[in-house]
Amino acid sequence: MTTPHATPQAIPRLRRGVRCAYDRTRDTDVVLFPEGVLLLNPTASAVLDACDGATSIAAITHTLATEFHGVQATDILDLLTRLAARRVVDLD
Amino acid sequence: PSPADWVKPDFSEYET
Repeated sequence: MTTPHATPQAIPRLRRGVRCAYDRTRDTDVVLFPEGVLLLNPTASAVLDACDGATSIAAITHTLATEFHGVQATDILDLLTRLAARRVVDLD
Repeated sequence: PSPADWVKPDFSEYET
């Protein structure tokens, strides 16, 4: 099985059984999935929030550029590739 | 509100 690689045209969505939540104890956003829990930094949380299964990574990058200064498209591609490898997101 | 500065998105493993 090959590791999925995020491209600007890919449409990311959370896999079944995966959800984002806020951990009050740690004061951070987390993603809960069958294999465990990941702690997200604020920009990673913003990226995952935008993964609605209908929006391409290119469009997500464009949207985030209105919310953050200096958005790097390669950062978003790298993050989603890593999350796909962890079976948190699917890349359609 | 002014846009926040971009920080490389990252995640870490939750440690029990």
